[in-house]
Amino acid sequence: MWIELTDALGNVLARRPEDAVPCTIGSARDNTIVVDGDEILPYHARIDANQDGTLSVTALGAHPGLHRPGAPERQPTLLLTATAPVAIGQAMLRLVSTEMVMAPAAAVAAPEEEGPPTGWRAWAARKDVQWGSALFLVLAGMAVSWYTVPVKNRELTAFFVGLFVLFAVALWAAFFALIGRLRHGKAKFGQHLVVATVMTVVSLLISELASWQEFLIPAAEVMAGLMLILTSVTVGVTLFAQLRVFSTRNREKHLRIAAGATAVMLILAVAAARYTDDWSSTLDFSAVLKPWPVSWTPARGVETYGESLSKLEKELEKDGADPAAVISPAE
Amino acid sequence: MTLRTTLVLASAILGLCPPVLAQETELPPAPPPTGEVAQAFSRLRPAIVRIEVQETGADALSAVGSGFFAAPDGRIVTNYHVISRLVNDPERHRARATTATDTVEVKVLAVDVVHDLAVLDAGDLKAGTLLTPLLTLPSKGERLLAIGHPRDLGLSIVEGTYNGEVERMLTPRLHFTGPLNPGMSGGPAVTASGQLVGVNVATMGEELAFLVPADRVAALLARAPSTPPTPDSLLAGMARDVAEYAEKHLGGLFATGSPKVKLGGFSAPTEPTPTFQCWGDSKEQKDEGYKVVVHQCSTDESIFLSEDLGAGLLNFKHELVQGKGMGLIRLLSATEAVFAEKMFFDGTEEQTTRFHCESRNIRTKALTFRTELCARRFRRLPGLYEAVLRATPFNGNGERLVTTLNMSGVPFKLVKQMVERYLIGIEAAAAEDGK
Repeated sequence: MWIELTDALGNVLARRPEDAVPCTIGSARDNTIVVDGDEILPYHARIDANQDGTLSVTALGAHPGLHRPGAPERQPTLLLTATAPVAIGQAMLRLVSTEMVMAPAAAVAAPEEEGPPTGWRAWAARKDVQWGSALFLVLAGMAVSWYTVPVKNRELTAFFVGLFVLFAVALWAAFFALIGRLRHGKAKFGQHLVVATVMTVVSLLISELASWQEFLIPAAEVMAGLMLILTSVTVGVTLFAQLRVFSTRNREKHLRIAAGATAVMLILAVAAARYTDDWSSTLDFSAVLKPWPVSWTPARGVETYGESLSKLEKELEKDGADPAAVISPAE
Repeated sequence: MTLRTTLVLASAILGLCPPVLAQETELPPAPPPTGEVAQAFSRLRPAIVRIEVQETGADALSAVGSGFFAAPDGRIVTNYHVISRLVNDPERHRARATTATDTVEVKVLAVDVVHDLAVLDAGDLKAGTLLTPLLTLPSKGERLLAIGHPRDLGLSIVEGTYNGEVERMLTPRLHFTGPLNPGMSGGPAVTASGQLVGVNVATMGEELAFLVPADRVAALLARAPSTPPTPDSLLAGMARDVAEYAEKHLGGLFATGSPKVKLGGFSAPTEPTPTFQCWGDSKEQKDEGYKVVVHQCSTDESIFLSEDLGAGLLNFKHELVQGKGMGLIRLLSATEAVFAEKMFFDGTEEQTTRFHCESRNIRTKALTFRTELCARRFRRLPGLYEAVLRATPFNGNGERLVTTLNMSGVPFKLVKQMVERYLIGIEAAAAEDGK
């Protein structure tokens, strides 16, 4: 007999000989049978041999209990038989006869395991690259501060800017470590410094976005839209990478998560762009006078400046023109 | 204890009266006035009223001033600023005029917001004495008498001297050297023979006071309707007056050939007319390592619209950010900090819209500017706006110029013209010198 785990469509995810027990099932990589899924815990269940030779499945951790497919009752332990499968999330665990197993026993293995990272992922996974990337960003931040901030005490300012950048990278790294721990039950701070560095750069770019977009005249709205899309795509790609969407495992699920996250960011970005300040008698001026946006921006002849302000005049006429929007002096 | 007893006791303590007055005896009637001022006071008293504006919700006083009868049908003249709350918020305010014998509710017939005058309809209250405007100005140094209710302490008369028309002011004002106090606003200033020279309007302390010329009173009386207009039409008329004033006094500013000041490598507009006052300063940014040279000019007067809002004001400021040796990027960062400096304005959400801004890069013959124009509309005064232009040229050798032009209570057409002319007026000094 074999222990077989199949997905909801009946595809075999894993098979093990029935005497290869005890074994554990869960999403964490150190389980005997690794399986991902929305309802699967890092350490989901354990299969043990009973004294009478039968097999039982026991729920682990904070699991609410196990159940048979279609039966709502949860129990801490269920007997595993050929006729009574046990639900493991959306997957199904059962015993199958050797005859039913088409493949030779030797071929039965865990589902497609992700091998050691290759290519750029292997490079990014190296510890020296991880810490090096964070250090590079800190130094870059200090250099930017040194050459742009108009203060006398440049050393102290650069030091604090470096500290700020380091703090931002650390926050992102801690965030990803927390996610990894929740997903796999194991993830350490420092494993995600490359992604954290990228996310810090993206965050800083986003904070610059608002002032940049106002500089992109005359098609400010169009350019602002493009910038938003570019930023969102960058964030999305970073998230894809972090969620290992490029791996073959659970590609669809990861894609859904990444697409959802990107959509949320886009909605937030659009909402922020459409946000209108409340009334205030204080006037804020936006100012981005660095040379590079200047060189991108076309200038209008002064003789048409007044004429070009007609749009602003119309905007002002509309503001409060709706009687409902005008505050009655009697109120 | 009655008020009378209190007064008698107080007088006794202060030693102001003989002890015999401490007894409960009737005061003898005042003798007829003998001095010239006393006679004038006695003669003019029936022409003067106390004006009070009340907030109806709280049923409490919100403004007190003076006024005087200037027409046989009972029309009263006062300052606009005395009854401005009634004009701006008629649903929450009412005004009353009080003579020695009567108190009646008054309505606004006409307003000259530019000169700070108003004509009120006092209904059945008829003039005891009329004050007729003196249409020719008296000689400088002539003695004048100003009458009113200083700090609501009762009708008072003060002596002063006429010192001619005030120069360097956009609206005509007469210089009165005499002790005017709050509450006397709207009261008359007359010659010793009782002819109206002007209306008390403002004081700067130290007996430096101002009057609205009597000919403006005559002009307003001539155009005042016989029945009170609606609040909206009153406000619309005010807006028209302010717009005309702005066109007349500000419309021609910054034309070609206007005076310029040299600031570093730039030349920029300064004191466009003698009615402007300009001054300079420089700020050393100790912690930031750069210096800001400031040159600013202002009309130094504005039309009073309400406690929160003025109009017809124009001021501008040039700030030269000097940071040689800082490097371009750090200099630009310093310029950004100056450019982004906030500005604070008066006004409420009921009175104006929020500011709307538009950024542009603008090219003149001499320079290319980064500009930001922000404007808000006066909600109750149709066609009037407040606008601020902030601009900085992209050029500059180790220095950057940030300039700000602020116009308040002007038509948008004027805003459009002014910003163009103002930017054209800023040039590179080297080019101007032919270097």
